Parts: sequence; structure tokens; C-alpha cells
Amino acid sequence: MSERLLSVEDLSAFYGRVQVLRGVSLHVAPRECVAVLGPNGAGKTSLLRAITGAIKIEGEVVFEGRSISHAPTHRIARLGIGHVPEGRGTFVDLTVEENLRLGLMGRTRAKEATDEDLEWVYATFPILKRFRTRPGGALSGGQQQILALMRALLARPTLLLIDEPSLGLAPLVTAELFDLFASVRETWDLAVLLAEQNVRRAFGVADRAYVLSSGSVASEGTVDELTSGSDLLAAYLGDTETLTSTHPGDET
Amino acid sequence: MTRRRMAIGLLGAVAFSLTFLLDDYTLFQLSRVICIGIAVIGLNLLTGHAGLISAGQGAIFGLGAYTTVVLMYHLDLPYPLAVLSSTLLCLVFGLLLGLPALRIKGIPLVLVTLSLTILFPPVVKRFDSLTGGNNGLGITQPQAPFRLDLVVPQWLYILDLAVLGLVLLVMGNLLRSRYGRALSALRTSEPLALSVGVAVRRTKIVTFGISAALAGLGGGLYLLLIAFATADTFGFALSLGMIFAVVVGGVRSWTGSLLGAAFVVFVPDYTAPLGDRGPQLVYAVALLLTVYLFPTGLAGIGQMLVNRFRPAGRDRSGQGGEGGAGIDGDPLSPAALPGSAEDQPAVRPPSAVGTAEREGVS
Amino acid sequence: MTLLTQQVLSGLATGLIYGSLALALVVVFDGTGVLNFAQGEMAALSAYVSWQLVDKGMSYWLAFVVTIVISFVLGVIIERVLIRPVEGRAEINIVIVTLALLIGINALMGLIWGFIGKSVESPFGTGLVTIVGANLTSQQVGLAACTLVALLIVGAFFRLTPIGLIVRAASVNPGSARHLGINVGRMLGIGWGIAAAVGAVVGMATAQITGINPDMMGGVLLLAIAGYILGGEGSRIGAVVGGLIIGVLTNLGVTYIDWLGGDLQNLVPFGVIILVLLVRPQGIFGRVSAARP
Repeated sequence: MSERLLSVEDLSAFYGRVQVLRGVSLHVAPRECVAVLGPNGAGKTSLLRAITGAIKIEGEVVFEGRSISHAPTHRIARLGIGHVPEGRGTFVDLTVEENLRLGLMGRTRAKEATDEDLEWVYATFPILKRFRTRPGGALSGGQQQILALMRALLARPTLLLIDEPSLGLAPLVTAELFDLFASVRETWDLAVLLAEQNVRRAFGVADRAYVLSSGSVASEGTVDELTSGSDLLAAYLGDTETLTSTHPGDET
Repeated sequence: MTRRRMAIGLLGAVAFSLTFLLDDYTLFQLSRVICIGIAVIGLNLLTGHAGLISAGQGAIFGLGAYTTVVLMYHLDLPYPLAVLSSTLLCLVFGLLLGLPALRIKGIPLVLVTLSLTILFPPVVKRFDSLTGGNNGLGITQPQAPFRLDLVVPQWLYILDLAVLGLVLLVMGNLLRSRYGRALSALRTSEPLALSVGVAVRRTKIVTFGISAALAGLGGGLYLLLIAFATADTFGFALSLGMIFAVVVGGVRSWTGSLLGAAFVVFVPDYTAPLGDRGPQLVYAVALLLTVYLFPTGLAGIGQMLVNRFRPAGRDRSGQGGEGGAGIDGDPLSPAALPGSAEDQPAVRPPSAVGTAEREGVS
Repeated sequence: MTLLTQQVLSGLATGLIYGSLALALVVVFDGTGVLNFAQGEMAALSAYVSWQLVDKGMSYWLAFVVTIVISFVLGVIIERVLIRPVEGRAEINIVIVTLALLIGINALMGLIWGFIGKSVESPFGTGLVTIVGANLTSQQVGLAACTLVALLIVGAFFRLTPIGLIVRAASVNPGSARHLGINVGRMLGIGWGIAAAVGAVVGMATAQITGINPDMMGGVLLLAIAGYILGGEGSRIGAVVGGLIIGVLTNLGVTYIDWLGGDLQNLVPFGVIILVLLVRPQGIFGRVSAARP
């Protein structure tokens, strides 16, 4: 059993009286990319929010050996967990550069590389450079998504939680982004926990996946295990042949 | 239900009998409490039930008082008609006020209503031929009808008590009606209410109207009590006092509104040692205590005490209004108390709406 | 013509004061999403503190600085103790708390220092200064200069310093800020502290003009709110510009419109408030934003 970066044990969460997560257990190893799949309402977003302390939970969340089950969100962020929520969370009134700098300020390691990394982001996404002194709100939805992801990345987290990154992005851009994550995984020591509705895109980049259904884990395993699994599961996951293809095709 | 009716009946009888047991001044004070209380009930409906914060109830109260005095002074209208006219005028005013208020909620609404409140006295004084300007306007107080052997304070007290009873009856029925359920849904979540077909705009406008009508009614009756209208009586301090009464008394509780009104009327008498602004200090402390510790207000505290002695009962000594759920309106807050089934909102929102984080729910 | 220039300039001078208080309101609104009705009383309290320090023998300018520091701390404490507990709850709670603070601080000031006005000697002397053909007292000019400096310092803090950026981020989008490791609560506290410090400058400036008494800031708060609404919710620049416009409008209105005297001069700020809220709720500079996150 490889060392665990993140370990979630028997996690349950409630919104008032409604239970949104039931005894979820999962783990993420360093530099691993793990996907959380499931339809809308399955609890993917709630799971990510539970991990970063936005909602009250029962159960245990352990990061790098430390329990963070009841830690406040900003403390969790400082430990090295980044979170890009659904809806981007751009600081609309701040400039693009200010948005990115806020990410840099959140760093707890590799502080000497801040300028270098910022230039790298600008080089990879020239649109951000062009808009650097414009307010974040002036960007389009998709551009803001990229901004949010880069901002989170610039904090050099050890684990990055991303909620539905492909929402609002053209397939080509999503693929580009995922390639980017793959490329920095080793050099930046980054693990990713990804909540996705689009199974094919998730499988294109993830090593393992958990399938959530009504707040609990219905199935888990490596991409191969899942796609060659039971017929019911395969039916849910869709046409298995096109699933494992890494070329972005048409939208399903 | 019958036990509750009996309790209310008993309370009413006791209140009535006080007419013959108390001296004139105390009756006068109690009558003041009732008049202001009626206006506070109106504000409670607007702020506590519909969630629309208004800093203008005092001004509308003043409008009611002035309408009554003007009609009686200049047109010799008999007082029942004058008070009724005030109520109607303020009802219309409230409905008209509700229209622009649809677009502004929260702080802007507070500011607009605050503007009306602060501008009311000087504007009234400007129309001095009508209102007596700085000197004000006076009328002779109404005598008891049918040659009943009652002095004026006694008669007015009975009159006010009767009107209060009527108001509470109407309000109780109102809350149990479709309008009441719409109000509940509106308070819980406006988008949600819209999505289930609640006529949100209409409900709001109607609420403004009713709230203003009650203020006008209270103001008219108040005028009969004090017999003399001066513009400065109905300024910012009064509106603030009414907000205070709603909150400290207990939102969404009519008993609370009356308790709050009593607080506002009687506190100045007891805080003499604290100096000129003593009452202010007391209000400030009471408000803070309410927000942090007793969100259900005085009525809620009273309810908790009653529940201590009657743990198994479903009776409530309060006279209508939803079981206290605190200023937040979150039905799941710890201060929530059991209410009878008909008081539950027709729309049951997912609990997330009350406690949702700002980031939305999956 | 000189009368007009006179009134415009003196209106701008007082407008700077309203604008500063309006700025304090914006700084607080940004983070906590609510209008701090007690901002004026907090400013008055600062004026009393400065008076007390001078009364005990401190020089005016030293007392000025010390008061600003004390006010900053007070602002942080108020946010932590009174505002934070109700931050997530329904709006009416914070409205009630700030209203309670308003009447509570007002009553306390009366209790501690009495209701007879106190005066503070002007550190600017009593001379006259002529600008563009208009006569302004050296006091007006001095106060305007003070307020302007304060505004510039605050502006620089928010625009140019890293911590200013963090406070802005915490105010604009607390959720995202937390995810970047920002302790939002602490930053909002700093925001309240800054607002209180700005308020202190406003209070001490107003004290020079009207003398110190518990009710000194009521009117100023009103005009500041008008400026804040006119300028646009959430806009720092808007607040200052709005305050300046209100200052000029009020002066011109009182000078040129006869019946607008006495009590009715409140018609100007309220008229502006009502007009703006009904016609263009976001003011001059505000954004027509969706619900804040």
C-alpha cells in the first residue's frame, strides 16, 4: 500500500437534516490523479467541500498524516490543499494579475520560483497576459475558469481539488488543461482530486476513480478495472470503447 | 384548540376587568401600549414575516394620527369615521409604498423608509394651515357612548382593547390563509417561492398595505388618547422604538409585539437614575442580548418558561403567530419551538436553504 | 460669481469629510455586506477620545495619532466581538446590531462626558486663505488637507500593498479567499479597523467645525450615506466622489433655495438617496452585480 497523501474515512455530511454524504471512504496517493464520478446531486461537490472544511462532517479526513476533519478552510489551504470550486470564484473586481498574485501569496513552498511560475502561466495562456491589468470579471466564463485553475496552481498545493473543470470549457481547452496538469504532476509534486460528470474526460487523465451515487461510494478502482467491470457499471459509464480513448471527440 | 381558546378568553376577560380596577393613568399607559402595539404588529408582519425591514412605521403611525386629527378638527368628523379613514388612507399609502419597494430590498429599503421617517415631521410642519405647524392640532376626547358610566380613559381603554382583539383575530386568520402560507414561503426563500407559483410581488404589496393600515389604525387611536398631535412625536425615535419592539418582543409573535410595545412605553419611567439617555442604553443592551442570546425575544423567553411548567402540552399561551423561530427565520435554529400543524409553511424547503454556505449546493 | 465659487469650494471641503465617512462605510460594507449605522457614532467617540487626551495634557497632533490607533483597535474589537457572531445570519441581525451600537455608543458618550458641547482649539489658526477668488478659513483648508491625506493613505494601502490586496480579496469573495489560505475573519477585522481609523479622522475634523457633543455625527452620517449611495455600493472612489457631490449640492441648495432651511435641509441627502435607489440603484460607479458569493 503506497503512502497516502489524503485519507478520507467513513465521511458523512449533512445540510441541515438532509444527508448528502454517507460513509464515504477514499484515498489519494502523492502525485496521483483521482476522479470522483457521478451524476448531478450524487454528492461530488459536497465531498470536495467536506474535505476543505466548508461543511460540518462526521468521520475523519487525514492529510499528510494530520487530521483536518475540523480545521477551518484557510488553515487547510495553508497545509497544501487547493480547491477550485464550481463557479470559478474569480475575484471579479480585482485585476487578472492580482488574482494570480493572490494564488502566489498562498504558497507555502517553492517561494523562490514565484516570478518564474507567473511568467510560465502567462506564456502558456497568453490571453491572461493580455488581460493582466483588466478586472477578472472582464474575462469570459471559460477564461475565468482557466484563471481560477492557474491561480490555484500557482499556490503550488500538494493536493488540488477541482470541481467540474470541463464545465464551460471547449473540449480542446479541457484537454490542454489536463495535459498541463499531467506535465506538472511530477515537477511540482501535485496530486489531483477531480470531480467530474463527464466520464470520458475524467478517464483520460485519472489513474483511479470513485463512483458516487446518492452520497455513497458505489464503485471504485483503476480506470481499467472500472471499464471492464460489471455490465451495469459499464452501462452507466457509457460506451467503454470510446471511453479509454484519449483523443477529445465530439460531446456525448 | 379549545384549551387555547379558553386561555385567550380568560386573558381577554382579565384585561377587560382591569378597566375597573386600575387608575386612569395606568389605563392611559396601557392604552398607549395597545395603540403602539397594533402598529408594531403591523411592522412585525412586514419585517418578521415578510422579511422587509422598514424604518418608517413611526411615520405612518404619525400619518394616521394626523389624518384623524385633521378630519376631526377641520371637518368635524365623528371619531370612529376619522380613525377608519386614517386606516384606509394608510392602507392605500402602504400599497403605493409597496410598489417601488419591490425593487429595493434590505439596506436600501431601510434607507428609503428612514428618509420618510426623518422627513415626516418637518414636512408636516410646513403645511401649517392644515396641521397647525409647530403648534400642533388638538381635539376633545370622545366620551363613552350610550351614556355609559365610564370616564374617558376607561372608555378609550375598552375601545382600544376591543380593536386589538379584532386585529388579533384578523391577523390569526390571515396567517392561516393562503396569503399566510405565501408569506412563509416568501420569507424562507424568494426564488423558491417564485418557483412554486407564489405571487411574490402581490404578497409583498399586500403586506406593505396591511402593515401600513395597522400603523394608521394605531395612530388614529393614539391620537384619541393624547388628544393633541405634534409632529415631533412621530419622528425617528418612534420608528426606531417600533423596530426595537418587534425584535426584542420577538419576531413573528403577536404577544411579543405587545410585550415590545410595553417595553418601549414603560422603560423611560424606570430608567431615571441612568439619566437622559438611559432608555437608549437599555434599548441598546436589550437589542444586543436579543440578537446574540434570545433570538426569539421576550415572547420566546416567556414561551420557554411556560414550556417548563407544561412539558407535554401542545398548547401555546401566545395569541397566534408561528412558533418562535428566531430572527433568522431558520426553522431549524435551536430556538425553534413546536407549532401547530396549520402554522407550518406549505412549502417545505430543503434545509440547505436556511443554512446554506454562500457557495451554493450541489 | 464669487459666491458660487465660494459655496462650491467650501462644499468640496465639507464634501471631503462626508466622502471620507462614506469611504469608511464602503470598506466595512465590502467585507460584511452591511451598512454600519454606527460608523458616525464611532467617529464621534474618537473625537471624544482625542478631546480627553488633549484635556489630559497631550499635544493636539500626538493625540490625533494616538486616537487613530485607538480607533483602529476599537474597530477590530467590534468586528470580532459583535459582528463576527452574526456574520452568516440573516441581514436583519447585523442591521439590528449596528443600530444598537448607534444608540448605545451615543448614550454612553452622553453618560460619560455629558451633553454640553466641548470645543477643541483649532491647530490651524484662524487666518483666511484665498483660492480662485474665494475665501476659505485656514481651518477649512487644513481640515480638507488632513482628510485628503487620510484618503490617499487608505487608497494606497488598498491598491499598492500586499496586505491591502488580501483585505480586498477577503471582502470581495471570502469563499475563494479562504481557499487560498486567507484568514478572512482576521482580514475583515482589519477592514473594520481601517474604517474606524478613517472615521476617527472624520470625527476629529467635524469636531473642529461643530464642537464635540454626543449628537455631532448624526447629520454627517446621513450625508455620508447619501454620498455612499450616490457613489455606488462597494466603490471606494465612488464614495469619495459621492461625498464631494453631496457636499457641494447641500451647500448650494441651502444657499440658493429659500425654503430648504432648517429641518428641511435633510431633503437634499434624502432626496438623493431616494432618487438614486429608485432610478439607478447602483449609483455612479457601482456595479450591477448579482448576489454576492
